[in-house]
Amino acid sequence: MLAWNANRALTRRVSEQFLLFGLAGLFLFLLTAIYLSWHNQFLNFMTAAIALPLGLLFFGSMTLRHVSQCHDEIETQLHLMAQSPNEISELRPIASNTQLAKGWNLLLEKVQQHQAWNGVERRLSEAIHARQSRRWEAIFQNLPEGVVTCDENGVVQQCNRALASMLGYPSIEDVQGKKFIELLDDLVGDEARERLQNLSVSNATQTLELKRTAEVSDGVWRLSTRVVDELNASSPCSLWTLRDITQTKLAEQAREQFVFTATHELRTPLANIRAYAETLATATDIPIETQNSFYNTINSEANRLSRFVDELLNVSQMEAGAITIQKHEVHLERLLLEVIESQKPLATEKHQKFEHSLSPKLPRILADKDKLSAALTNLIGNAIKYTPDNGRVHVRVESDNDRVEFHVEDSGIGIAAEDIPKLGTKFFRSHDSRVQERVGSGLGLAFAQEVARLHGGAIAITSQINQGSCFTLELPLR
Amino acid sequence: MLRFAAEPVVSSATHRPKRYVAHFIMNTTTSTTSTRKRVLIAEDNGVLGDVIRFNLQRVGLEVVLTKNGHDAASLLSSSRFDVLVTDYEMPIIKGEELCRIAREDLNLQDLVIVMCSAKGLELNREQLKVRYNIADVLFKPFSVRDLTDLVLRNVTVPPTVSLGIDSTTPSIH
Repeated sequence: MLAWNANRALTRRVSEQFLLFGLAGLFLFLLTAIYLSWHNQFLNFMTAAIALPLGLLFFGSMTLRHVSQCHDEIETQLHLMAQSPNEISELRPIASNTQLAKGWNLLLEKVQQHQAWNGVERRLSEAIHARQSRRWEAIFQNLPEGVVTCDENGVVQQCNRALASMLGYPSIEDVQGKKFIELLDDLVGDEARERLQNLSVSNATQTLELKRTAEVSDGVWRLSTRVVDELNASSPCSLWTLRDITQTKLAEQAREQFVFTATHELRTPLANIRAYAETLATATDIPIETQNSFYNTINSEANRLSRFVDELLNVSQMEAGAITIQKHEVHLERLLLEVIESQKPLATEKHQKFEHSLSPKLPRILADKDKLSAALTNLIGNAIKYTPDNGRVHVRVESDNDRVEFHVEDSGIGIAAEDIPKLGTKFFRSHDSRVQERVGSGLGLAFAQEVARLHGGAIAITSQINQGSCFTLELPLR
Repeated sequence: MLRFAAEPVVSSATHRPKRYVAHFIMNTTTSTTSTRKRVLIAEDNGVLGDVIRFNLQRVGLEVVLTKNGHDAASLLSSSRFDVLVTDYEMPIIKGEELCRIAREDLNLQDLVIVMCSAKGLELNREQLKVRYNIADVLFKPFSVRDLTDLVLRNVTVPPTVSLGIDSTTPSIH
């Protein structure tokens, strides 16, 4: 509607002006015609009759041109736009003071601003994108797993720092361009090498565990590989990851060892109980003293089994991180004597001197009786276990206002200085053959330390190899 | 009478004797050999060893009890035994090694060997029986009566026939 009005305005103006001039001309012509005919100058009249209209037409079109000059220019520019829509810079403002020109110039300005904003937006998004790429690159390089991409010939294209260091190279450039399988080959054992060779090219993920040497503790890697199409459209690339699973494998090994130990420790007292019970049941002529001693043996073996089952439960709780303590008032002297009584048979069997000295007035403390008892049983049991026949085990308890200390001293095989810091680690057992030939789970001390910790205390260890050790459980008094 | 005497050949690397070499020495005195069958028990679990000894003595066997493979090997080489009852897991010298020493180093082919073990299914029972001609491998906890019966069965039959007649050994088939 507005456009039609504007157009009408233009054409109207044009025609109005044209008409004005036309009418004016006609009037002048008439005047001239009247004057000339009055003076009987017909030829002059004819000349005037031709010249005047022509002059008027000429003058008229000049005016017309002036009027529609702005419109013309706008029209031209719009035509140009239609032909090449992307060349905004071709548009030019009109140098004129009319409203039309001003309007056009404003429009042009807005369009140019819009363009400028678009440009800024594009550059911004490019910058952000580049930053993200750099972030991905940084993430890739800093992954703890080794990651590498290889082309179809198995030659390394890209890899990260973790991979270079796992393979023993100082930088990723040393790895790029080499055949990945060959690099691995040099570093793994024979058995692993064979399996490496058998890897096939496939879209499914394949995983291998590779041992560096025959010993798990020297290092075990998990290698997984997969063909990826997205990396390169023309030829298939393979993506490999290498992860160090040594710790996991060691933990597995330790657990297996523990299960083996547990089985043995359960079967031994069971075998004893069964053997004695059967003997008593079938033999009719056993002397009374012998019978009694057999019954006692069954009893103590049953106790041993029961204690071990308790230890297993404690251990599984500890493994689950679920040990909790419930504190009640504990009569220390009674608790200690109970534990000592329960451990005495073991010491007697080994002909050891098993002594205890408790300070006269032991305070009542707030503690978890069962857990504390189990922890002390562990410490005393260890002292007896790792002391040879005819050795000496001494339990000494002292207290003052702030704390109570349980010292378990033995004249046993002692602990090497380098092993002492590792003692609290779960499943840790020293490689000393004298330790290995004794049955042990590697969990007793870890458990005792956890109990001490939960009570706000700690276990201190001093030892001299081949001479003996002293384990001190310290508990704070409120 | 002839006596076996064995010298452990100690290798320098460990304190454990690696091989037992048997040789004969002449003994001028005559010793009265017991007519009772002699059993050697090698078991580090003292409590179990005691009850096995008790049961075997009750049926008229002479029993010697040791707590590890090393002492057992020494005793085997220095006196005559008819039966060896051995544990699998023992200090110093393990049960399987003891069997090997008895059969190969000491050449005691008439010795009846019974093995006990807490290892259960982890042991390859058949392989052990065939390799060392073991009368049987019993898994703990086992019945002491079964053990006693097994020992008696194998010693009351004359030695040349006993090994192999036992239905559990494959040589019959």
